[in-house]
Amino acid sequence: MSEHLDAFRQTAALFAKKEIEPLLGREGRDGDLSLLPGILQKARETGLTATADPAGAGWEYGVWGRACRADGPAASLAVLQEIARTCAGAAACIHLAGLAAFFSDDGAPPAAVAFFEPAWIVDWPSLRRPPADACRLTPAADGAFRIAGVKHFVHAAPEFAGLLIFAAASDGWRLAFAPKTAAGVELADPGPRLGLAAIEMAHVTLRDCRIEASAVRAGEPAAFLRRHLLGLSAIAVGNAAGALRAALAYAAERYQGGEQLDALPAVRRLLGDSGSRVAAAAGFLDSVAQNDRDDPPSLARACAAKLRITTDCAQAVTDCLQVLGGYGYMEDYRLEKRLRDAIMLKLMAVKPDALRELCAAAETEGAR
Amino acid sequence: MKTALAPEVARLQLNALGRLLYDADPKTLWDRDTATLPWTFRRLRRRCRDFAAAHIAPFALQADLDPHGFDVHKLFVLAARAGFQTEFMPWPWGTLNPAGFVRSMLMAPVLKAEEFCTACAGLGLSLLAHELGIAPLFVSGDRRAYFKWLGRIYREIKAGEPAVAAFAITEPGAGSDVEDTEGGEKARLGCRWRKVAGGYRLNGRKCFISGGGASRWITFFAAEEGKGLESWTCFLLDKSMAGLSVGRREKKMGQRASDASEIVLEDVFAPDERVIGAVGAGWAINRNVLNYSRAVVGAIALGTARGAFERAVQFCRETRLGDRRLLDYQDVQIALADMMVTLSAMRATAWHAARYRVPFQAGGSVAKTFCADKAWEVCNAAMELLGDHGYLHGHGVEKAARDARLAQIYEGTNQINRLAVFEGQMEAEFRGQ
Repeated sequence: MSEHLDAFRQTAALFAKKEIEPLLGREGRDGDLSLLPGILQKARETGLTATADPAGAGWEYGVWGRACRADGPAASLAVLQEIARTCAGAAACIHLAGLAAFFSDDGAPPAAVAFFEPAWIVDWPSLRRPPADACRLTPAADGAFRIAGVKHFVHAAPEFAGLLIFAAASDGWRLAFAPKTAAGVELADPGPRLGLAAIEMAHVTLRDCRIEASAVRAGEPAAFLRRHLLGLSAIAVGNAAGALRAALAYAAERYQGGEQLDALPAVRRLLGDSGSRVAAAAGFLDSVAQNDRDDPPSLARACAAKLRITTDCAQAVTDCLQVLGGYGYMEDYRLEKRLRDAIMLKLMAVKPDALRELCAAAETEGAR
Repeated sequence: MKTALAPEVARLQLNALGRLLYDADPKTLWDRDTATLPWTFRRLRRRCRDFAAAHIAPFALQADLDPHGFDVHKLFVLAARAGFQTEFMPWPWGTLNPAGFVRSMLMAPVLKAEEFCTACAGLGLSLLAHELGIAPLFVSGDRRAYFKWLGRIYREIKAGEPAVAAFAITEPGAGSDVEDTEGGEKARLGCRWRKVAGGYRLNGRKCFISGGGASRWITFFAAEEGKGLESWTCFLLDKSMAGLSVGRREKKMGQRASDASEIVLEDVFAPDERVIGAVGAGWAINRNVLNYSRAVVGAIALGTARGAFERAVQFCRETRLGDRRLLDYQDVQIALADMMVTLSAMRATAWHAARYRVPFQAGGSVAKTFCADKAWEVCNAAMELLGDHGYLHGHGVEKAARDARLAQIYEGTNQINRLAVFEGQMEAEFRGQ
């Protein structure tokens, strides 16, 4: 398995260097995003990104491809880390596209998973049974379904064609697919944001939207959430590792007070703290990935991993930025972009306070 | 409905003296803290808050998104009309109440920094950078600098002109070097002067100069050709001088409304009268300016964090989660209380530094380091409370976090400032050890 992982890592690292580095360049707050569709297309052709198309290169071994159902998430997480060393935004696109493909039927178009709702507390009971005010899926007279409700902070890779919507049916969670252009589907732009500019984001309102019966199946929020949290954690680790690499390179070539920066105790403290945080986060992620299964304790571990890893990685990135001083704060060296991305990874999906509560409930109530 | 155990109800069980000794009034911490100030500063703090609410806060998000499209000169003129650009010193060089000046030279800028930066640290810095720019004239003790230049800048501002000043020490290869004694001894300086008839020829490039693009006046530091920082000299330059140009405007993570620009000097001639203090006094002037300015940076950080806190409170009041407002959850209350605790400690630190009769190295660096680090923590905590909303620009909290991050870097990184605390107190605290 470790040989396979190394091969995945090498492929991803090569792809990041060859295809993604030019995206970043030196101009623009988040790089030249007009290059992104081409890059993501190449990621699909290379097999890095999973698609729901069985003929697609990444259907089986792409990030969150079918193979990870049997083999676990280690390979997907390794690829995400490698890509995020160069660009967290590109890694997030590959993660989100693959995650949607994982839950899509074979042959389905690229989608975005619509999971979170306003005024909804993500807790263990609501993951088992939908809360009363969740987005509703109701049978229609013609054998189809109708869906109504609001989903917010739907994150997606660019050019997604439809929505995979977690909705409440009379007997539990269901997953329904709706084209994003379907009647009754409204997408709203939440406006400018801190980071991960490469991904798309929308608030979705569903006004009695018609869903074919064939587009509805059982939905497991825990299965989605677990992979989503682990994927974001992997991107956070890769992003922080990239920041550390940049800080080390800067410290090795710049001088202060006649001494090389990496010889100064104040800088060494920052690098040491940052390096140890990245190493601990990577180790934690590896251990969670090795024990990942379809059970509640695995989701609890994924929650703990997302809480700890994204928090520590954000701290590692801010320490790396500090090594560069004023230059770290400017767009040119891309450390400020890494910090913006790191903070966003910490906040998105389930926020730290909610993760703490999920972890506490898992500990105190054995939420199984 | 208050229960009998609520403090303000329970207090009524006491006699008149007991009630007098028990303060359970529902006053804000802002009001309570303001009440501890002398009258002149109480009044100033209220005026600053009102000005920030009317003229800074409404433009904060717009100026952050489109800093090039925002005309900061208009804001400067408005602030000048309200007296905020001239109260660094009393008459005849400014409008600061002499009673306030006698009590504290730093309290006015510290109060102003907190209030302005609560609304927007970028626009706040645009206004505050002027005081940093003229501080070398003040701390030089140079009579000519006072009567010729400070007086002239004051008159220009009174006449409604945007006569902003900027402070230029940082160079591309010497950022921290010019903010630290040890670094200064080995600094690789690029800005140079040489004596010519009637004045000095100046060459070199400064970077990251706050207000460098918007300013009319620049206090510029340069070393004699072939010599080190011991020859550093402060010159008062102005943008009309031949050979002086503004280079690249940096693209910053935060405080974007305030420009950080390069100042490029190509054989600029500065007459003798433009030397501030004495030739070779630049290092002393620079170090003392930092003693004054670092407490103000602490207050900038404090204000930025308070802005994030106030926006988080507003969000928690307006947002419902489940069947309650966010504000009604105990874990949210604990998080907000933690922020209030931190903000109180930051304010105490910044005001304490401002109360020293004459600012000194460790005093300024303690306030700057503590407040900057804590501001980053508070802003992150505020973003965490908002969750996904925390990274949306429209709520203003992620902007506050980006703004706050700069306080850990400018006026010497917090690492340099920690060394400054030790250096400043080493002789006194560790004598003989």
